[in-house]
Amino acid sequence: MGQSIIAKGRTIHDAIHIGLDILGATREQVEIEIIQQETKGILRIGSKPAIVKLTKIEQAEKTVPDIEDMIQSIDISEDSKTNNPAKEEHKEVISDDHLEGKVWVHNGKIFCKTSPLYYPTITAGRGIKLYKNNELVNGTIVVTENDTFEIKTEEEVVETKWKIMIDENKLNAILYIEPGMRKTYTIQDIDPSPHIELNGEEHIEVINDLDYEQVLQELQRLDIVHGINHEAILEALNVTKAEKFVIASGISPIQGKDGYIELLIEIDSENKKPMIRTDGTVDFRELNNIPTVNKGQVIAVVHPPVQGTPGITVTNETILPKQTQPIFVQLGQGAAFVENGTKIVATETGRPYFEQNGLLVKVSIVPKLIHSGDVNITTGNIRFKGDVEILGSVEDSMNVQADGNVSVLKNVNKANITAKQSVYIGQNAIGSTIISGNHNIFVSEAAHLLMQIQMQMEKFILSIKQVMNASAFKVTDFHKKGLLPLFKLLLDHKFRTLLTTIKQYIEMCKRGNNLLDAKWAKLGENLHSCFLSSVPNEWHSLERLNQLLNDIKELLVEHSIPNEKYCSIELMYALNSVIYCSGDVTIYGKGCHHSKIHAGGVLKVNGIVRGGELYARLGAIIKEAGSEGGAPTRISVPADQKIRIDLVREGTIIQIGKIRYTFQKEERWIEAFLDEQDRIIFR
Amino acid sequence: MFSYELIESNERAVVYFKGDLDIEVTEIMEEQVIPLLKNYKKVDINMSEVLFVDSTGIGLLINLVDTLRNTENGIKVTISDIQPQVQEVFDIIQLKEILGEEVFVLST
Repeated sequence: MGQSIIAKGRTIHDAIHIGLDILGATREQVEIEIIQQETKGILRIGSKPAIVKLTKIEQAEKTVPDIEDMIQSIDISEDSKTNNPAKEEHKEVISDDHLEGKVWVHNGKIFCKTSPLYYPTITAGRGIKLYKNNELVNGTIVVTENDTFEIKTEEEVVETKWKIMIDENKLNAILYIEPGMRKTYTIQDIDPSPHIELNGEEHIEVINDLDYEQVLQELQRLDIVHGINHEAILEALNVTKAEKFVIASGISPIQGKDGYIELLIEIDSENKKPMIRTDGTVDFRELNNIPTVNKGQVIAVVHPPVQGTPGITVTNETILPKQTQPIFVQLGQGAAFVENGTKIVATETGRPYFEQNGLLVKVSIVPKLIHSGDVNITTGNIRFKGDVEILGSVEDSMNVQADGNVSVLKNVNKANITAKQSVYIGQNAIGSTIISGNHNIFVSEAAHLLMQIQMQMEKFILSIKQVMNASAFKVTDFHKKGLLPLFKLLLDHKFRTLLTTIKQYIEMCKRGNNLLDAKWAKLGENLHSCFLSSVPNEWHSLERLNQLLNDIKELLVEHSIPNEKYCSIELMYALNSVIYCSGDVTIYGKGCHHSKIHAGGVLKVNGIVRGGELYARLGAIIKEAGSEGGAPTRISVPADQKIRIDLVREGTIIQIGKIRYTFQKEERWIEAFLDEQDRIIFR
Repeated sequence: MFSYELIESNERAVVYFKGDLDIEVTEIMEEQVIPLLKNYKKVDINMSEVLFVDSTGIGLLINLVDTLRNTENGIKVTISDIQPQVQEVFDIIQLKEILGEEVFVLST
């Protein structure tokens, strides 16, 4: 039986033509059977195509050898035992059915066998170009035995890429290499199937054609001469994947060392805490670990700067090491240089004090005053430019002021203690004010006011410039009265708050007279002359105004540099007292009742906090807070800090940042802090 | 040179300022203008011919308004026809807030 197909067309004639085309036969070589006549509908509605069946007439002489050819091809692909004729016969029978309507690939060629009811299809895939009867095929096509096919494989070549980079410091030349490759495709044999997808198999061959001479030339072009590593270049010539090699390296400069001061005595503030007895109380009599030096003792060695060694770049340039600086030592009281300023000796007996800020070191010996009894009306107030140690108590309304530390071994009753450094009170502070640190309560309030003044003054200057630039504004009165009339106009309404803030500031300077540095008061005087004077003076000019603003800025900057590592307050118990410290505050004993405490550092209370207001800039750790009686107790910290309380009673208020919380019942072991949504979280 | 002109009708006076309102005006203002206007019930200060001011001049104006308002009969004072450039200076100083908005009228 010859192969037959069903063909459709608009007319019988068309259908036959299409069918003949597919079979690749002439009209004489087929039998035609009409299955359906075409029906013409109106506007294609109800129309039916013509359907014909074409059957190829058997022509033994021509068709059979064709098939045999094919079968031989199959033998080559599927059966190595081609010499066995019996098998070949057998195969022929099977293959005939088996291959019907299928297409396959063998040795890079396409073979097919059509069936009357099925024509195999082929899809051209990646890596190849398929030509059917010399036309490029895209996508899927029908395969017939009469088509000629040609498969061309694609080829892709990537060149070797490389470059030499010099790093930022010119200390290394780096060769980046990405070897090239050739990507080729071969056609694999594909078993017979009704549909095959023809894909080329990818073969990648890496080609690294980097040339040693080329690299050397490029190095020369980039002026790279120093520290070339030939081994690394040779290694790079053989890599098969992208890699980088340091092919030349310079020498880093060896940095020198700035001058420094070597202390020969222990002054670490951690070690000067008083002894804590086994029962938790503190023995302030054991303060011996405060370092003391004697006259003539060498307290420090000043080391000069050590110059570094220059380095060299890959392009043979010199890299200079960072310039080293000598340390600058400022000697205070009680300290002197010997041996050309390389050593510092004490000329007085006392506590050595060091303060380092960058390369500036201040060294002085703080003298110590030991007061053996109580401080009361018979002894008078104590003011001392050094440390003060009082072996007794400080009694009613007495003042103790010191530039260094103050230790009181007994009580402080209704008295004031002010120390620029730390304060230790061996027993209780009752109804007293204890201040430690340069940044006392007045300073922080004065700074706060000054910041407001600064902001308003900036606007004030801006307004003055604005008025002066106005076209209708004359400066006829400047030579007589300066800017005073304009100041008055602006201060009358627009900058009324500036005036009140300045008044507050001046008032603050007066109240904190002996606690504030003279600079603050001087600034207050200048502000007064400038803004509060009713007669014209030299301050009534833009120039002076700007200068004043600068002075304010400088003082604020100076204030913002923390220098508080030597400040702390430690005591056993506080009642109705005010404690202000720019460093840590520690209460070792029973706790504090109805006291106001401001700690610039951490606040630790080993006992009970009952009533009062506590602020701790770096967090609070408290054993017990609140009272059953209900005296209000408030503990606050900034937004980024924590409050830890082992036992907190009902009614206690805590505040973290601006968020406040009042405990409604007794709780234990709380740790409170703010989350990202500004809510208080307990843990 | 500064001069002024007074036009009165019943108890109401309109004073026309002419020239720059500056430090030179101090004496005229204190010795002539204030005494002259003290006896009216309503005073309008017309500024249409004032092209320049200085800070003393503005001070004088404020003083004038305040003095007249604080006399026994509590004179009602208005300022009118201010030149735009002069108004600019007044705005920066916030004169409206100093004297009260009701003092400023467009024209009489």
